Parts: sequence; structure tokens; C-alpha cells
Amino acid sequence: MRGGKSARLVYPAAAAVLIFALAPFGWVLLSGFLPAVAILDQPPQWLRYGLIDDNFRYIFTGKVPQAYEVGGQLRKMISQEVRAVPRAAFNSAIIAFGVLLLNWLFGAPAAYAYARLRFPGKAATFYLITASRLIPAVALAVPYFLIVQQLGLLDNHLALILVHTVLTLPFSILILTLYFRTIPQEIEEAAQLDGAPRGTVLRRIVLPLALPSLVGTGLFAFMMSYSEFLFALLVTSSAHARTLPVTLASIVQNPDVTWSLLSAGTTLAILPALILVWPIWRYMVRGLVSGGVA
Amino acid sequence: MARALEVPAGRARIPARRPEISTAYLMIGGALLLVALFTVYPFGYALYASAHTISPILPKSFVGFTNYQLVVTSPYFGFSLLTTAKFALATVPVIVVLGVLVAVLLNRPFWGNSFVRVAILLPWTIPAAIGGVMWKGVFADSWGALNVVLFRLNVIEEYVRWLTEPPLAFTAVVIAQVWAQFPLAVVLLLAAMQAIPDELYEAAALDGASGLRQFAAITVPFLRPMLVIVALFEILLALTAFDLIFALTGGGPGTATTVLSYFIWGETFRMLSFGKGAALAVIIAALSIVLIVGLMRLMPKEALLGEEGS
Amino acid sequence: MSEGMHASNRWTRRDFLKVAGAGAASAALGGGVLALPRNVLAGPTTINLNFSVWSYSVDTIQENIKRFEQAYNNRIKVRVTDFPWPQYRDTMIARFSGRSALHVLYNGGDWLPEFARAGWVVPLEDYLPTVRTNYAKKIAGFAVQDMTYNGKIYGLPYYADMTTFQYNDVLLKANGLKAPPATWEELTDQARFLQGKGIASPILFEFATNLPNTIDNFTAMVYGRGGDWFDANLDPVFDRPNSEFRQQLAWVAGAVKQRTAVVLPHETDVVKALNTGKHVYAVLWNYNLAEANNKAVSPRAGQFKIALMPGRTHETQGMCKFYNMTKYAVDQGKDTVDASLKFIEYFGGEHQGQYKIAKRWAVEKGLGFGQLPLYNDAEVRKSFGQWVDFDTLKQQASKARARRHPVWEGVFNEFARVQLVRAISGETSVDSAVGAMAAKAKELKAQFK
Repeated sequence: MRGGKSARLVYPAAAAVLIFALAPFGWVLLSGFLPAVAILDQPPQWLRYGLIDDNFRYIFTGKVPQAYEVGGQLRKMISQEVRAVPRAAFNSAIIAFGVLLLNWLFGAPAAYAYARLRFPGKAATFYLITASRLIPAVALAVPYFLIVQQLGLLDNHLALILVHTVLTLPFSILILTLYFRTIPQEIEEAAQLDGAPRGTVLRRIVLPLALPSLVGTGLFAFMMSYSEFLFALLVTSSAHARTLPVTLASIVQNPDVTWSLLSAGTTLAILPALILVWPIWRYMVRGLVSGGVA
Repeated sequence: MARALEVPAGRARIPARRPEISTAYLMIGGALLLVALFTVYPFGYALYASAHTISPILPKSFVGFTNYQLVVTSPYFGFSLLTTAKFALATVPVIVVLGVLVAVLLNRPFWGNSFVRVAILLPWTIPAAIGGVMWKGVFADSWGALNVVLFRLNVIEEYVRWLTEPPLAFTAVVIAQVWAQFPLAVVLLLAAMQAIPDELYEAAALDGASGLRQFAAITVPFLRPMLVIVALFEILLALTAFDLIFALTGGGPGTATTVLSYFIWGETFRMLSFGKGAALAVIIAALSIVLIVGLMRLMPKEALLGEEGS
Repeated sequence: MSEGMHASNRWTRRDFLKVAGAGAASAALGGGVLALPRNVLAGPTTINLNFSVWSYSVDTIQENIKRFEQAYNNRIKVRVTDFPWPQYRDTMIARFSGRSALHVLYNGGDWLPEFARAGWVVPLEDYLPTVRTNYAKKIAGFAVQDMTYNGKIYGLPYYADMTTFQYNDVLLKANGLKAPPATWEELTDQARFLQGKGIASPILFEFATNLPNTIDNFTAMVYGRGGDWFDANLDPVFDRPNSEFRQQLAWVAGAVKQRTAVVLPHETDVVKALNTGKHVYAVLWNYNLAEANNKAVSPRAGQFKIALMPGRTHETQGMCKFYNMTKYAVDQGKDTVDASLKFIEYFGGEHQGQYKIAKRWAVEKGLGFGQLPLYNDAEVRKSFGQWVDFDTLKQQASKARARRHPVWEGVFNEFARVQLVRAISGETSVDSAVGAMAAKAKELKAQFK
């Protein structure tokens, strides 16, 4: 853990982890800039035709890649569906952000109650909430749909936000409960002796201290929502409002989408999540550093 | 060390006041309502459906346990359960251990630490199905990046049949799942590690304890609840994993990577026997409960709900 | 929101279960968008139609729709909604069960019996007699078969295609083989020969547990031998001793065991693998050849050809995807039906004596066509000629037949795929797989009497 001996392992270990995590992305990023023929040709030499930006240009502007213009044959065998990716990624990000907020809004108070308060039905409701995640989602698809329909929320992003929140809340509450309990009670008790009600204690004292955990569970909820497919498919509405996983599903095994075009689309799909993740995670890092990790 | 999580005896404690109850319900109210609405009814419905034949092209009828019987004796149940179990057994320990190791790594300050923390989240940011497709681009027998790189580096002379040899395909699927899930483990374990007070380590260092001893005596016990939770969650994901596997191998070669949850989709939506699909789902849920209860025994009781919970 | 449900305001158990039992309830998909009031929207004579498709070239579809709307002075407006192909059938089932407002949709031969029996779609020839009197003889036999249920034709073709035996002619000849194999046994010899020449696994197959093409590809091979799944009464013939079915299953399993063949989970994987030059033969839907020979994206474009399906009779399986009118449209009244018929005929039939839309799909995207006159069209011949030998194609088309589709086919196929895939990979024996499938077929047939 500490000490000079293990320090030498740190950089190789970090490099190994980075390679493992990033290699597939590196490949996807690279192949988005390669012509399709370069990827399949044997013996393998990816850069034999150089890098091109045709695939990305096509997604944003609809200009058919250069390669399709030669030969004059079947030049239209490229799928327009890929062009829906940026918009879909944006939709997914919005929904995921809503899920994140709802997780904080409902999850944090609930976790605090479970961590600190005594009340009848505590264990029962706790297990109800956490056990709700045990049934595989696909079996709940139809009842979920019926409920959403009864609430009149079909074709509405709100429906998906609600469903995703329900799917992520149990885990958030579980984690936050655990974390809240690790916070020493003296601080809260001091505030309470001063007459502060529980709600204020939660807001002013506990939440700031629990920031790393809050950010972690918020991230988790965001990611889960962003990448969720089943319910997004069920509740999805017009192509304009469609979420990313559903859009990607329609291009992944499409004969008119080459690996490089798919890679370009995937790269764009990842960007919004990346943009949002980075500042949050950095913020969490800062919080941790000031929290005293030597 | 679970003692650290208990409220020390003898301290002045705020007596539980009656109004606390309403505060409590106010706090849990939102979550409880949402979850109950979207859980009680669906779960009840799944149970109900599992006892009936429900299909748009057949008349509905009550069949009791027949669906369960049909599911368990169906040709696919045996082998796919085995495959699913193997998959869980392979992925969960690896994810947990890797999660701990990487969290330990990231817990130390070093140049580039925050970059690594951000970078490892990437596998997590994509839908499972896309992850499967990405790894397909890596593992594809005849043009995948892995084979190309190994070939160009002269590590192999002939391309490896990653996706068409059953044991290799299984390995590929395990690797992809570990890759997609370990960030979660890292995030949670790292957060848990942050909660461990420094003084404990300092005291132990003063006592002359080595890094490894400190790890075993301080870190692990503190991490235990979180380790259990991570393990539980990963088991759950492994039991219901579907998108990633099928995007990567289509369940193949043959049925080498065909897992149980595929058949829920198959039964429910393709074979139009919603009752059997529900029965299978209930079975998987029951298996999950058994596992969870079993693993919960490893967790100190007080950690979750406090001394009054159980 | 589906009008039907809200109008009643009471949720009877039956309603719940009817919708729920349908499965994926993506009736929401455009449910709000599509529950348009009957007929009238922008004026007393404008009719609005809802059209469901799977996500392939939706932009082309929309262009075609614009041309159609203009051709009819914008009196008919069409709104198209698309769904991912792998979930299309499930989605349609849910929407139909949810009584969504849908007038025309893409349908396929393998789903037709289910949808027809459930009363969701109607025979086109009942409303447009020229389907029988004019079009039937101008459409390829296998396409008509696939559009027929209970003796009636349900639609006009969107596209029709066959499974073909594709191979790399350049590699074949370069290694000293003169011609593609005429039988499967000959293929075994050729493949072993090529193995000796350094091509590790010359044959590629597309099979997977979750892939409907599994059944299509395998059936095509069985047809090549002259065999079949069921007879005209939908009783199994595939389990007869030494049937063509058994022979082919044993052959494929053997090829996989000897490593002369490799199984990939999707046709896009096969096309890519073919273009690495590491494999020579494949059995796929014919449209894949257009991609394999596409200079824009395939390094070995131009090297691939088709040969008649190996086997005694050289037959193959064909299928047709077509435009189908719904019961909902009929319920909306004569004007809507009229509009729907015009729409379907514009897209799948003749407009001013020409098959404009079908031709467009053929020429621009290489989609096969069911309309026979297009075989004589110079532009089609020229366009197809860039990637396939048109005459061989024509010849194979004359030897193509559609699969017989029982109403319980969806359920059966789901079961059969697992058995087939396991038998092919050697996880179960041919005999036990065939036995299990035969038992299941008989069980289903009895259940759905």
C-alpha cells in the first residue's frame, strides 16, 4: 500500500490498466478514420491508404465518402441511419442527466433515513427497495409499459427518466446508506443538539461529507441510463427523439454500414458521456484530495 | 474492524423522537413510492403470468406450476444454466479482485492519477451491446485488431480463432464483461477506501506493520461491506447478461456462450409465451435471492441498517 | 396513446393480458404520434396513412414517399416510422395488440400466417383484384408463395431475394480448381484440397442461436438437395430416415468438425471475412454479394460469384418482403382503403406501367426483386451485372421456392434454431436434434389446431 518498494510498480500497473480500458476505444477511434478496405485487406496494414475523415464528414454533412464515388457502382449503398447518431446521443444525455438528478433527489434522503433514523417498517421497506432489482428487466418490460401508459406518459422522455430512475434507485440507496453510516455521528449530533432538524442536518452536514459517494452513485445512475436499451426501445418515440442505444441497434448489423462508418458513429456516441463524465470525476478527485489522502 | 461502523456505546445519544418517524417517511417517501409502483405491480404481474399460459395466439389458461416445469425441463435450461453459472464464476471474482487492485492503485497519489481515473470510466459509458460490437472488432478471427497486432508483432504466425473456438469465445466474452464492469467496482471501492481514516494507517505504520499487513488488517475489513455489494451486483449482472454477449458472439460458437437470459427474451417475445418467460424470470430472480442471502451473511449486520436493523 | 384503450376507460383483465401477452409493448412507439384521427387532418380530402418499416434506407423510403405524394397531388400523406430490424416483428406484434393506428407495413412470409390468423392484416387481393388477375403472373413464383396465406395473396413485393451459394472465383482458380462444386460432397473435396493449399477453413456459414437467417440458410441447402421441412399438410418430412435434411445437417456438422467450415454469427461478419481472402465459399442471402463486390468498401470486390446451390436439384430458398394492408385501414372506411391501395400499388406494383420503386431498390441498393418484368430491364441488368452474373441469377430464381409457413412457425423456429446450432457445432447429435425438432413440430401442430 505505501512505501517505496511498491512505488516502482505503480506506473507499469497504471499503464496496463489504461491499455486494457482504452485499447478497444483506440481501435474504434482509429478505424473511424480508416477507409473500409484498409481494415479487411491482407496482409494487414491499416495505414496503407492513410487516414480519412470521410466517415465523420458523412455523418455530419451527408456527403458520401470518396470511396463510394469511384467505380460508379452502387454508390448509394451507405446507410443514412448513421447520421442520426449525434442527435440520439444528445437525447440520451439529457435523459441520463434527469435520472442522475432524480437519484440524488430521492435517493439521498432515503439513504439518510435508513442510515440514521429508526422507524417502523425500516427493514421491510429497505429490502423491498433493494430487492426490486432482482427480477430481470426484460420480464418487467410489459408491466412497466402498461403503467407508463396508464400514467399517460407515453412518447415522453419523462417516462424513460422515471423507469430508469426506478432501475437505478435501489443501488444508489444501498451505496449511500452504507456510506452515510460511515460518517461519524458526532457532527450530526452536535448540530441536532443545537436544534437543527434532520433535513437541515442532511443538507448542510452529511451531504457535503458524502460527496464522493454521491458523485459515484450519480455517475452510476447516469451511465446506466445512458446505455440502457430495452426500455428505451419500448418507450421510444419518433426518430428525432430516439435514444442512442436504439439508434445504434439499427446500424450495428446493417449491411450498408461498414466497420469504419460504425466506428465513427460509435466514437461520436461516446463523446457526450465523456464530456459530462470528465468534470464530475475531476471534481470528485479534488474532493477526495482535500478530504485527506496523503 | 466493523466496530468502527457501530455507534460507540456510552455516548450521549439523541433519544428517538416520535416526529422522527414522519421525517423518515418523508425522506424515503419519494423513492419508496416510485419503486413500489414500478415493482410491486410488475413483480406481482410476473408471478401471476408465470402461472398462466399467456399468448396472443393461444387462449389464456391457468396452468399452475406447469410453466416452471416446462422451463426447467426444456432442452435449453440445462446447458444455458451451466453456461451462465460458468460465466458468473469466471467474471465476478476477476472483476472484484481487479477492482480492488485498481482502487488501491488509484488511491495513491501519482502523476497522471486523475487522468487514469477518468480514462477507466470509458468502458462504462457505452451500452453493453456496443461494447460487444467493439470487442468483436478486436477479437474477429480474420480481421480483428488483436490478431493483427499480435501478427505484426510476430507473436503469432497464424490468426487465433478467438470467436469460433468455444473455449476461446467464452474467454473473449469474459474479458469483455470484465472490461465493461470493472470501472464500477473501482469507483465504489475507491470511494469506500477514501472513508478509511488515515490515523489507522499511521498508527499501524508506527507499530511497524508492512504495507501488505496494513492492507489485510485495515483495508480489507473496511472494504468488506462494499466488496459484498460489488460482488452481489456483479453476480446479478452476470446472471442477466445478454446484450454484450450476443453482440460479441451471437451466443456461439454453437451454444457455447448462450446464456439463460437470452431465453427470457426468446420465450417472451419470440415464442410469444409470456407465461414461460415470466416463469424463467422468476426462477432467475429466485436464484439471485438465494445467492444474495448467502453472501449477505458475509456482511456485518450493522453495516447496512444499524444496530436496530437486521 | 392508442385511442382504443383510452376510449373504454376500464381495464379489464382481458385487456391487460391481451396487450401484455403480446410481448414487447413498444406500442408506445409513435403511439401518440400515430393515433391520428380518422382520415381528416389537413382538409376534407387529405388522407393520412401510417406506414411501418424496419430501419433500412429510410431516407430512400422518404424520397419515394414524396414522389408518391406528388403523384397524387398531396391528397394522400404518408408518415413512415422505422424500427430496428432485429426487433421489428416483436414490435409489430406489440403495436397490433395495442391497436395502434397503422395502415400499411412491411411484412414477411414467415410472419404472415401469425399476423393473418390474429386478424391484423388483410389479403390484398380481396381489395385489389388486379393482384390476382394481373400481378400474380408477373411475380416470381417463390415470391407469390411467400405472400400467400390460405390461398390468398396478401401484398405486393417490396423486395424478394434468394439464398445463394457464393464463392471467390479468383481464389478458386488461382488454386487450381476449375469450377465451383455441383454437389456438397464435391464441395467437401474442394475444401479439403484448398486446406492443403493453405486456406485453413474455406467454407463460411452464418448460424446463430438468435438469428432468423439460421433457418433460411440451412433450408436453402436442404432445398439444394431437393428436401424440405414439411409437406403440404405441414407434417414433418425432415425426420424421415436418411432424409435430405438429415444428410445436410450431418454434412454441415462434419464440415465444422473437420474445420473445413467455420460458423460466424452474422452475414456482415461473413462478408467481411470473405474479403480478407481467408475463405472461399459462403451460403448467404444474395444481397450480401452486392456488398462483397462493392468496390467502395471491399478490397476483393469483383472476385465473388454465385453458382447454383449444390445438391441434386439445385433448388434454393427464396423469400419475399412485401407491403401489407392492415385490418385497421379497412376499418377506417373506403377512402382510407383506396388511399392505402394506391400507396401499395405505387410502391410494389405498377405505376404508369412501370415498377419504379422496385427498380430503384434494385438498381441503387442491389435488392432483389420479385417483379419478373425487371429481369428484362436493361438498367437493372446493367446495375446487377456489376456485381452478379445476371443469367445465373435468373436461372437460380427459376429454381427457388419459398418455405412453407405454419402459423406456429415463429415458435417452432425459435426452438429449432437452438437444436440446429447445437447439432452443427457438435454439442448434440444430428439424430437427437432432428428428433427433438420433429417432436416439437408435432406438438405445435396439435396445439394450434
